[in-house]
Amino acid sequence: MKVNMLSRVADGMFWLNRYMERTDGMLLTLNTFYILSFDKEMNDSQGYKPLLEYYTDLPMEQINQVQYDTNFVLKYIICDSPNYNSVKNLVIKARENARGSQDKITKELWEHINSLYHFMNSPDLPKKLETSDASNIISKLNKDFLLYNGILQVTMPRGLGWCFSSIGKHIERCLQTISLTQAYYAPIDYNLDGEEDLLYWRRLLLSLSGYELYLKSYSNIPHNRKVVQQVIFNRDFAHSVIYTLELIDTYLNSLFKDNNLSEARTLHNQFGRLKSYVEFTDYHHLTNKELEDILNNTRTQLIQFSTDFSKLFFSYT
Amino acid sequence: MMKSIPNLNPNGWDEMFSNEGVRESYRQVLQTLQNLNHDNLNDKHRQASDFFMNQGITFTVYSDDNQGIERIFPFDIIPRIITQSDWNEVESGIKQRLKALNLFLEDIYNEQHIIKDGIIPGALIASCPHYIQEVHGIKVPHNIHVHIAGIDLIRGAKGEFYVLEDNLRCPSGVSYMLENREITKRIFPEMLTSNHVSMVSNYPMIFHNILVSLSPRSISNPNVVLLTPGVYNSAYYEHTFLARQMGIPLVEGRDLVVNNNKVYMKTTSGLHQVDVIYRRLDDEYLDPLVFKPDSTLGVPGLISAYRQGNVALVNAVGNGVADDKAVYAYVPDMIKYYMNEEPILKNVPTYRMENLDEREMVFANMENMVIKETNQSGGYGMIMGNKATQQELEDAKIAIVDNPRNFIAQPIIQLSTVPCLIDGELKLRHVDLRPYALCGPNGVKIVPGGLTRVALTEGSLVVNSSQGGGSKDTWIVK
Repeated sequence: MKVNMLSRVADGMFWLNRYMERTDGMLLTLNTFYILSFDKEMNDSQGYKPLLEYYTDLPMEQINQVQYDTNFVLKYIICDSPNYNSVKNLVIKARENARGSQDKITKELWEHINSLYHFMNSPDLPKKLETSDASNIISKLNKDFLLYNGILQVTMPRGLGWCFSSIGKHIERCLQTISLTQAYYAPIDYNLDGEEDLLYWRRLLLSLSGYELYLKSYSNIPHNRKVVQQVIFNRDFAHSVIYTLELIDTYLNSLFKDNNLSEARTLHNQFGRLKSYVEFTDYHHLTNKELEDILNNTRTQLIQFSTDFSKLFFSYT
Repeated sequence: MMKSIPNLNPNGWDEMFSNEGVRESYRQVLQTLQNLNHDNLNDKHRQASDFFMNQGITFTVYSDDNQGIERIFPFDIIPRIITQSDWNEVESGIKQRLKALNLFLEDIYNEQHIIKDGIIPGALIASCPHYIQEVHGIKVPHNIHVHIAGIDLIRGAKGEFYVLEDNLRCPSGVSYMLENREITKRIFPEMLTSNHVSMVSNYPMIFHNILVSLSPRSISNPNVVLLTPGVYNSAYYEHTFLARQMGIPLVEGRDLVVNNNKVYMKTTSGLHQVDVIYRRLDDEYLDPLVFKPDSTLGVPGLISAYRQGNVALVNAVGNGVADDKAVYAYVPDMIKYYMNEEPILKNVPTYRMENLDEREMVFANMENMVIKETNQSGGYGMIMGNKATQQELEDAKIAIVDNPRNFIAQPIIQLSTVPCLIDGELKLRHVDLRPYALCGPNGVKIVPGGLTRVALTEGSLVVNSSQGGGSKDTWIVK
């Protein structure tokens, strides 16, 4: 039987998963940087800078001042109310979207988001982050987001809602991968022939949950070109650009299966060109300039696609 | 745990205890409670609170710094028990009452025989703010106006039931009836089994069948939706709960559009016609073209589609005239007029302030009366004569003289009490009961149970959640 979905609810499910994925990625990055901040010997030229640059709108001057200030970063990223992109605010926004689509998400998923919301709003959380409990809190949050993804996978029906959720989730993931990759390649002028060591790339790979896979797949130096291969072109890596684009394509095909609107066809073609751009890039012969371009262009085109996608499906007001 | 009987009110009815000791229906429950120590009981209380919090069954309280804090509606873990024989009386009384109220609404929006025959004054209806002229003459499916009703009952000093109020517009609270049972299953599973408690969980299925049966189009799978004011409505949890339980879309006004006198919902694959709307939106917000023009909660053109018979609204528009507190006094007369029967359930004696004799009598006995505004609900606009200050009583008199149609008075009835777990001990608190009745083409159905609301403040008779009330699971035992 064909099931319809309210545009508002589809919008809610799309954004619920974008917010949850953004928070998940941000927490993973925070955890990585937090743990590595205890390695005093490490030659760390960036501190929390990549995290603050991508996930906050702090001015560069302030980022430079606080990039090594763990106490500030933990509180600002996790529970700062004025920071519109703090974990607390993103969870609030995710829950708002979950509330608006509560009849289409499962009870299990709702209860999990709801308990996360209550945890983030507990009054003593900021104080606890100043103590040795901070590590436990970040670990708990990381696990809560893993659990969210598990509940989503196991309980949600594979219908329209699943397609909108998955597209939102993977657009967000792809944008995070691109931005974090830029944060590590921009300081070295996208130099694919440079000799940055594994300690330099470890921060990026851990932030994308790809460190172990990298070690297993590419054991020899130099790393600069191999890291690109992993984070952009590796189809087995769940956070790579190509993997996320392929998943978006799969769910778009489901959505467009019975849709004969010309706007739908246009949007489908638009995404096809974007995916092909990455898919048919020859990364063995990639130049520094081409790397910079592919990251910039993919990011720009994906943001445009997300806007056009919303216009087509979510124009309910 | 408590070993003795709490002090009983000699002028009231306690559901668990009589002067001779514990009532038979409560014997097992009391025994179980007495076998639990403080920690056990507190654990169960905490478990219930966590359940409600995790489900999102909360309301938001805003502090000075505008930070919202979510609170649960208090739940008392000790069940309220009603015997099957008492329930039989309640059930037959509500069925009788709802049949009469449906006949009244059909009559009052059509020929108005009840006015012409002098049973109800025409002026009373004409002055009712909830009498909706715009729906006069509209034919509703199967002549049913009230599809879901919450009838508030109280018990007098001898345990007899009285109808305190009819809620015939958008009665709320049914999700609490269902969720209270779910939590009881978790905290007292053995008690439920051993007491042979009647099931309430089939309520959504019965209701869904009724909604489907009201579809104006003869199709196998009509499109039934639940219309909510949105996520900021205090009953939003209930709206999501019912939509999920019935498997119907939860829509807001902005999700719907009227075209050519038909209602459509905006979906990701275009517009889809809607057949039945279970609306949780008051009449005055339904359609800005007919009612409040500045409201964005409703759907422009909805009443026009309703008038054409292209969409069914549940409950029907204009039911407020039948649950107006002044019209309430005439329900026993309606039962006699339309059904030629004596009312099974009694009304609380009600004095209309437009009647000079009754008004004088009330003014002379203000401290024994509760004064209610006829167009208010939720415990608002109510003055308890025995709690009010002299100044408040004088102000009430002035307001009554100024607009007598706006007030009724009733003698203060000591609601029955049920023990509640408060600070680790059993303490008596006043309760009422709201059973939920469903009317469809096959008659009236009432799931055996209801929402017991409890006034948690000692001595208080106000049970409304908006006034600090809580709730209990309600068991009908065989």
